[in-house]
Amino acid sequence: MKQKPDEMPDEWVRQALSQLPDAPPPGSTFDTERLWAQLRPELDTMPVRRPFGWAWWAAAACLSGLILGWFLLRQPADERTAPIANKAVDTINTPTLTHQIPHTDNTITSSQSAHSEETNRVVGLPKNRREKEIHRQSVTTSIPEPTETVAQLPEVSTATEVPSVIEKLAQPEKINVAAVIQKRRFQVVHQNELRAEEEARPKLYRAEHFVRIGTGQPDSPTPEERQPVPIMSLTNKLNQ
Amino acid sequence: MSKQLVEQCQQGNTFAQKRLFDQYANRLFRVSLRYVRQEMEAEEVLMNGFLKAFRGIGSFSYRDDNGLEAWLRRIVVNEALQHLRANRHLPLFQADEEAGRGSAENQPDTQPLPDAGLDAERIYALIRELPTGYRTVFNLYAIEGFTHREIADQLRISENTSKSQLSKARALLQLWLTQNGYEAETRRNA
Repeated sequence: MKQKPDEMPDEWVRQALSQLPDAPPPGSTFDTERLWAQLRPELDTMPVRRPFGWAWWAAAACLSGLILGWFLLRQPADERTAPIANKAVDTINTPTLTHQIPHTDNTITSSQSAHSEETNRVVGLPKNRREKEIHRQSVTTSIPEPTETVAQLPEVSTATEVPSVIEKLAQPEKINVAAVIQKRRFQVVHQNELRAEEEARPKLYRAEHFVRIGTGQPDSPTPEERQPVPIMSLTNKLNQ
Repeated sequence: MSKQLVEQCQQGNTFAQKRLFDQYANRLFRVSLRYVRQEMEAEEVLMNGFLKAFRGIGSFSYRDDNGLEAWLRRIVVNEALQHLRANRHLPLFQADEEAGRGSAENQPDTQPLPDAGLDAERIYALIRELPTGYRTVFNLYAIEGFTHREIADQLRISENTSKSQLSKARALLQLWLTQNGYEAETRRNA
């Protein structure tokens, strides 16, 4: 904006104001210490915004994500499939146990040696499992003989046989069912690959909607070359 | 020196904040008092301005002392305008009525200055005596260096209103300066 010569120059005012002393205007009651005393409590309650504070948060989030991802990737495949394998073990063992119980009853009644082995197995189990096993046997079989036979057995023989029985019993339990059971393997395949496989596969055409013309042999005469069928007139009567 | 001060303030150092406050409080109080006539209101504006400054100093990048002062000044000016708006000193159409009261017949009741040679203090006092509308536009245009469009945006007025307020402020101030014996000097400097 151009100024006329008789107008008050703004620059002159600006220069005059820049010469003001660094002090409150004369006659003013302004006191910096008093104002600071009022300002100070407000500053204490004020949250300090540090420069690039968000960057620290972002870095921490990335780092935690990387650590978590690394941990998940480093986890072995057996551990990841462990719950599924355990479920498989449960489903497999449940029917076999129910079958085993009558089977053991049969063995108890049939032969004394097999019965003694069974009782040895029960004795060799841990305490809680042993109680369960005994309880199960008592429930399923009304025969009180197993407890008697256990009492009749010499303690020495059971004591000596326990470690071997434990080993025998422990080994089948340690079988990794996840490894024994054939895993169903899945493969992620793109749809286009599946289509390509289907196209590459030899196609078997069904003859449902096809019409066969001719005999299929080159020597066979075409229908036009066949001998004409003699036409008999409808009015042809031998009597007339 | 000021760079370290700013960095320490960015870290929330209270001693640095106190030093920065002491360094600029008087100068910014004068700025505040140019917009807001009452001292108590000017102190309130200054305090709010410093609070905003300390709150936002984390995003301030220091270049030199002039940049720091300009940044603080802008905060205080914005705070003063907000104060005027909140206390219904704006809009500026009331300024014409006030101007009538402050016409040539009614000289501003400025306090007698202790030293007659302090031209800056006399001019400062005369600017403070301008009506609110005139004073605000004159401060923003002539001293802070805003354009009429920026002033119009800030004060929510038209550019023409801003221009007319400025010309009236100049006329009134020139009249007062003339009556105080500044006529020859101003014309010579022009």
